Amino acid sequence: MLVPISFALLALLALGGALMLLFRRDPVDGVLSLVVTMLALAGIYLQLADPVVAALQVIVYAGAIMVLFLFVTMFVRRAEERGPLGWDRPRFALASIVAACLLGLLVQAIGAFGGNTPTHPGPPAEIAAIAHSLFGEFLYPFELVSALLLVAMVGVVVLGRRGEESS
Amino acid sequence: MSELAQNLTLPGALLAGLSPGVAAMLVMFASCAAVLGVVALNGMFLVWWERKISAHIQSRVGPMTTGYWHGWLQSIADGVKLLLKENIIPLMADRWLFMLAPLVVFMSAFMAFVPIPWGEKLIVADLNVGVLYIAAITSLSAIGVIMAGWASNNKWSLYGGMRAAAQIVSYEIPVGLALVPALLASSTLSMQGIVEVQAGGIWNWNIFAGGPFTIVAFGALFLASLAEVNRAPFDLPEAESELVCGFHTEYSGMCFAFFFLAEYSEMFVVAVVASVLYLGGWHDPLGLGILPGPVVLMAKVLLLVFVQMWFRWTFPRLRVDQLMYLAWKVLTPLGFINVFGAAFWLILV
Repeated sequence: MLVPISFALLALLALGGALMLLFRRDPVDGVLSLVVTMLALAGIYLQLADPVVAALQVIVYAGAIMVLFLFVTMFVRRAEERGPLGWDRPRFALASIVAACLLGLLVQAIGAFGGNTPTHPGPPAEIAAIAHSLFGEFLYPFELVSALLLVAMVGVVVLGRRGEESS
Repeated sequence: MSELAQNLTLPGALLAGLSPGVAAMLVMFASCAAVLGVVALNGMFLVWWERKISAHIQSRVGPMTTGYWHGWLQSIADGVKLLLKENIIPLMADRWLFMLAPLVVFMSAFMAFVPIPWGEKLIVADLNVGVLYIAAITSLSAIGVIMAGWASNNKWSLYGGMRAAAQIVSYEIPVGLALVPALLASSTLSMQGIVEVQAGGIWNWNIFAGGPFTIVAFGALFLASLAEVNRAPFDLPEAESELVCGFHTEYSGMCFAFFFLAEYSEMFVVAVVASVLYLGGWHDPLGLGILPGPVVLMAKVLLLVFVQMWFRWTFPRLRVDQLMYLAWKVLTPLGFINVFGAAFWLILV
């Protein structure tokens, strides 16, 4: 009884945050609405009996990445950029195409579940089980992602150094 | 929240006649009230204690008159004053964010009290990811601090908020790395489970489980968590001499009180985490089990909180670049060495 109600509340919260992100004028308000969405998603993970992923969602997304977003929006933003993005025609067309593609992908992904989307808690996930699948079954993709992040980090250092030399 | 109700017989008898749903709700409210009581009492005591300690370190006596005995009523008097004061919101501030920020910061400190094991059967909820939960919840305070700095529409507040965010996010990595050796030694994330592994005396505590590596990790955890809670010598976000009062410059009345309460609650929480992970939690050093668990835990926690206060009134504040140097070039590599060293020590020794 309580599970569908709390799921509906969390889903509404997540959607509300996402809509606020789209329609608020101030970019900082937008980032803070995204925090609401992230926290609601963490609540949904918790409801699906996966406290590990819920906690990681809060630490990584609602914590670190949102702080990074806030930094970037505060530093990059200038006074004249305060309003919403202008809706000139090419930009609108491009945005529509990208949004339509994303929607198609999502519909296909949801359809692949065949109506069996889990909304009810299963047995709680053990951290050992997650570790075994991450460092056993999925070791190869895991290491590939690590290598990708390392390359990105080295790239950022190189770019930063280049700016230093020219100035 | 159910463990507390199962372990205490009195509420169990009272709740027997109610339907399970209503009983669960009542237990939840009672647990929240109990946690709130601990948070409030702890805040009041620590504020008074810090004033006394700072005074004695500086050859003063601190508050003496309120309550006739060493000013013990001073915190309550201050609390009443803050309750009655006008809550000023600057004209150009973002009203909603301004009001919400202290609540976010306080909530993150308050919710971290939930998985604290006070004794063998005294815990609000023994989450199976307890340590990870505390790390997640306390990291949310960064969002609240930035909200406060941004919503105040004041350059000093904004500087303070940005500094706090950079600091909290940077120091999360050394804190996380310093937690790992203790988790390796106890092979569980549940706070109660970690305490149970360390039963039977000081030589079983996690601080000695990984030889020199866990001892160094305990020191690194203590230092890095000082920075996590913005305490001196890492109190750059509210550096009075540069930023007036940092992110809470514009706050007054109860909103200010929430920030204040959150700071002391966070100090307490990080001391609890260090005591539970490395110092045996509610087990006494000799493994006798005579003293009640909460007394033993409080003794350890208050000792660590005392050292936190001692640091604050002894060391000068770091510069921003020194702060980042310490996080990224000293504590983070040290954390990696500790993780690998402790892992090898646990396997080989």
